[in-house]
Amino acid sequence: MPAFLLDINLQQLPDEYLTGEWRVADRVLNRTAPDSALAQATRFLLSPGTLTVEAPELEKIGSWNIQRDELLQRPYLQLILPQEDTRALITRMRRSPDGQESRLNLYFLSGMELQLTRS
Amino acid sequence: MEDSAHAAISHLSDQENAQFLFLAEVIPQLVWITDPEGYHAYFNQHWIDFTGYDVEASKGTEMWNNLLHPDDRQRARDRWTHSLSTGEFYEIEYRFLSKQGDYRWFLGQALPQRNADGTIVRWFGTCTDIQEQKEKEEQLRQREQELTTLANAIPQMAWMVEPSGYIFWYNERWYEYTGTTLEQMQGWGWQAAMHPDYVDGITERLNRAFETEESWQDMYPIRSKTGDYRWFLSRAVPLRDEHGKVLRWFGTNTDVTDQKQLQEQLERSYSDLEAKITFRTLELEHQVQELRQRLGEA
Repeated sequence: MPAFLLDINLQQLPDEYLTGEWRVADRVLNRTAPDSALAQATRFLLSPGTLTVEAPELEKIGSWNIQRDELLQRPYLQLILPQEDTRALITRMRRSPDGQESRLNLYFLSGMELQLTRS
Repeated sequence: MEDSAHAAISHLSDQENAQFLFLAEVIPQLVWITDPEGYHAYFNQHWIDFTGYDVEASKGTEMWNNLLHPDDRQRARDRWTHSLSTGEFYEIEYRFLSKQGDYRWFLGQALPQRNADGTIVRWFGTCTDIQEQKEKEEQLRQREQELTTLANAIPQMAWMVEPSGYIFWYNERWYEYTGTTLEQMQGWGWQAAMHPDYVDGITERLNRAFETEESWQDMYPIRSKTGDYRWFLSRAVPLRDEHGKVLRWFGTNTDVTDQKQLQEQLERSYSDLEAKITFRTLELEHQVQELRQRLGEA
């Protein structure tokens, strides 16, 4: 049965909702360098403090953390990889009532947008 | 007629005879009397006026049955035979042929009279004209049929509720969408088709509407037979009689999933755009500050 997803209030987003293994379901590159790890990523593994980005024939390990700003109504992620240091605004997060399935929309400073899913 | 009447009730005293005959002629029903074997010996004037047959022509065990509508004859014969053999109260609805040649509906009823030993000595029967009641029932049935046809033709899901809140009918579209049956859905079974997160809220608001008898509107997801959910705008209005008493409720569910998604997408796009601009602006300010810091250091 397809999951019924509910929007999560981003102002009250618990950090643990972000940890886990995310698959890239959709992407819009915009001005992002197409050969960068983030642009090619197919999977993101977010464990406490550690970020693993997987792309075809490529794996990068770095760090991540959640940041919040009073002016923004939603949190953003600081993603640090060996050759990339960027921030991604969380524009939307949806989650099934049992937490088994989630969708995460990220907007990067380069204009790239990713939709990640986890199930 | 008086002779036959007296013969049929000859066991009674003269005063009782007179009272019975008076009563039999005054009441609006067709009145008849048979012996224990079902031989019709007496009919009142209303019978004669209605059928056009006098008592002599109507006497016997079969004449009454011959005046019934052909579709009712066997059923009436079976029911009457059963009462004659068991002594049970006789009651049936059937159509009698009038002297004008048309049929009218009657409610036939008969009770046995017993002697001191408990043996049946005769049957007293009446036929009450229920033609108008039957016509009203038929009109109501036709209206119900028209309503059902209309309710099945509309693109919405529709349902009807008793004043107590018990849902007793859904249109075909409901069953097509939910893949359920009336047995599963009647009463409060509809709750099984709602998303669990919404059931309590819907139930509470709906119950309040039933109590206050005010129209109800709500929006919530309903599960389809494939297991996915779509959003529906649901409305219910009370249908009242001429005195304002609620007879039933009529409700609909209109699929608003596409509109809701479009509306949400539009609202989200504006909200996202604002957040993205703020996000980029903050980053720009951050870069400017860094640049100033570097220039200051230089």
